[in-house]
Amino acid sequence: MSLRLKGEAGEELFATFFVVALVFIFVFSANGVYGNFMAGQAQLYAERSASSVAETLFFNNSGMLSLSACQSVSAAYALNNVALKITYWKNDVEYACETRPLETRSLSVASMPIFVTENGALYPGRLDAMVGV
Amino acid sequence: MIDILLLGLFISIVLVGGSVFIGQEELRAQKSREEAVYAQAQLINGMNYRINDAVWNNRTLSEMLGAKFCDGSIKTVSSTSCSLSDAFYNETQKMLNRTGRTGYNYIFYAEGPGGLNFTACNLQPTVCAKHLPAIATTTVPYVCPDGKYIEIYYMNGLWPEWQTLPLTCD
Repeated sequence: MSLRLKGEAGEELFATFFVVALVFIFVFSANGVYGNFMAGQAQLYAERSASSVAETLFFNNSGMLSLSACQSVSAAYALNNVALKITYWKNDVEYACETRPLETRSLSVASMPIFVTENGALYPGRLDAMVGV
Repeated sequence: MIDILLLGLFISIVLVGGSVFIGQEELRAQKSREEAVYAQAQLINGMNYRINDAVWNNRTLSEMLGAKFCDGSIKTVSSTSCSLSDAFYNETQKMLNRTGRTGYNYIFYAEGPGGLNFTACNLQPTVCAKHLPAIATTTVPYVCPDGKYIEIYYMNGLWPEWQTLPLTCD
């Protein structure tokens, strides 16, 4: 038995299906709403992740990192898909201590000001936590 | 039929617009949180800051301020001065630039017993502190050489110079 709707009811049903199909295509097509939304969510969680790593390292070390421990400490915090770079300045000359580079493209970077200590001297530095996808 | 199409279009716009709005709000909240944490880091860095010259004598800023509050050499009750030393000012300014915050203003404020206070900043503190978008505070105990126990309140505020803030706390 077949069901056939004619007249206004049939047109409305057709219109409903048509709108649902349009919305579906609009939302899930390439570069559609869903893709952009998920890209935004990935960016947001990368931002959260990067800032969380940077903050943990900073506050666990009270804002000061010994240069001799730079490699080991940063390696301990640079876990899966996270890279750390500590840039510091001695008399305005730039130096850096960094973990392995990210294998994927960097999605988000969180930067914190930090001091690097060496033999009692204090150098201003910047801690960058980079999170990839 | 046209009314159903219009209704579908309206619902789509609401759903898509809502998703975009919520996404942007989440990102904005995350950015605000990062600014607040940055202000905390800057406050800690300010207290840790140390140089070796005749005035600082290799003491941290918090050690030097503690000593000065103890010996009474800080006498200002309502300071509008923005200078501690050129070195502190320059380093703070450089650090803001190096961490992607070029053009940001800051106020580093310390208050000891009796309301005596000290301010370091790159802009005269004419804005109301409670309206600063990113603010960090802490109270730190300090034992004077004579054994007297004092508490020092520290505050660090941070805001982009293009953001207009109320001048009064009304």
